Amino acid sequence: MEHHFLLAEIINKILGPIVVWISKIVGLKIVDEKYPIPDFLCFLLIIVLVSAILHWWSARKYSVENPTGMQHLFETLYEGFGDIIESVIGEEGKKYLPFHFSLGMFIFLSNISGLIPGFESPSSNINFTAGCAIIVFIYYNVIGFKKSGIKYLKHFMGPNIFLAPLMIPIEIVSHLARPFSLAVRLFANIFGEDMVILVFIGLLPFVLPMPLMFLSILTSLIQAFVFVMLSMLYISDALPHEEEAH
Amino acid sequence: MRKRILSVVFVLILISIMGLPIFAAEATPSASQNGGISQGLGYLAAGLGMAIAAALCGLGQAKAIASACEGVSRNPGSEKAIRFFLILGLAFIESLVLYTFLIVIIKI
Repeated sequence: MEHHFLLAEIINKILGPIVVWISKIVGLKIVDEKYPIPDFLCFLLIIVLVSAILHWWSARKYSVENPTGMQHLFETLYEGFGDIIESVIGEEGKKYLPFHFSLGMFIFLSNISGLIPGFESPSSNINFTAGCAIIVFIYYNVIGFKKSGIKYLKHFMGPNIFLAPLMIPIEIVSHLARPFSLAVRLFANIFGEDMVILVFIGLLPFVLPMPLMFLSILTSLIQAFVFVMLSMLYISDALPHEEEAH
Repeated sequence: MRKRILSVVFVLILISIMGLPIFAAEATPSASQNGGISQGLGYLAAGLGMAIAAALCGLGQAKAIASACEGVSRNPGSEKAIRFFLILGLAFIESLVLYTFLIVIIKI
């Protein structure tokens, strides 16, 4: 007998029959007819809604002279991200800013929602973090192919053409390790922090988890930032850049 | 008016804290359910592996923090940049020990 979250049960009551109907048409098999949407997907939906509402609210009335509070906050965050991305990627960094900003906001909100009682963070599930990592992997490879065409494969061959048979397996392994490490880093941080808070609640209920929760707010922010920073670094690595004169 | 809203929110949060047992995760199958020497060896390996990972992580982070402090003391104007690099570097080093923690938590 499983004990589910209240919000997850509500969402399953509302959207459950639609999912079951779609799966019958498509031909998928659902394990438990009464609970088709898993916990983390329900909270993912909630976070998508919250994120969309936040973005919409901040842009309701654009005004240059006296901006509203939310518009000011979002502009500060956006410009801050823009500065960081320009220092990492270069002058044409601002083109990749919307993707990274929304990815950063999304991951931060989903990390920190685990600390609110009654919620579970979607990033404590490997499926969510692996999805984000795969998106980043596909994104930077597609950008590499778009910008340099087939010459993008020169990245894999190393500095000299004769070293290519040695360098290609090394480069492929290191490229495949990137989304893996992105996914596992975020998952291990958030899942481990949830587990430790759980253990501390068992030890001494209202007192002991407090300092750990303060630390968790910090690490949620830092992990979201590290994820986005690494994605920016991978993109700047895939773009064509001239060699500097030594 | 604002104080009233804050106090209502505070009481709601307190009530939801009472339902914290909802956080309990499902039991995942561990390495050896039968007990005996293989389970004992599993626990021993977990503790030893975690200890080695944490010790080396501590060494690595100590070196990073020491360099950051020295860098700031030599050039107090670069405090912002050094703080940025420090936090980034610490997060990377910490993620390595978290990989080991993940194996311990999920498999044991």
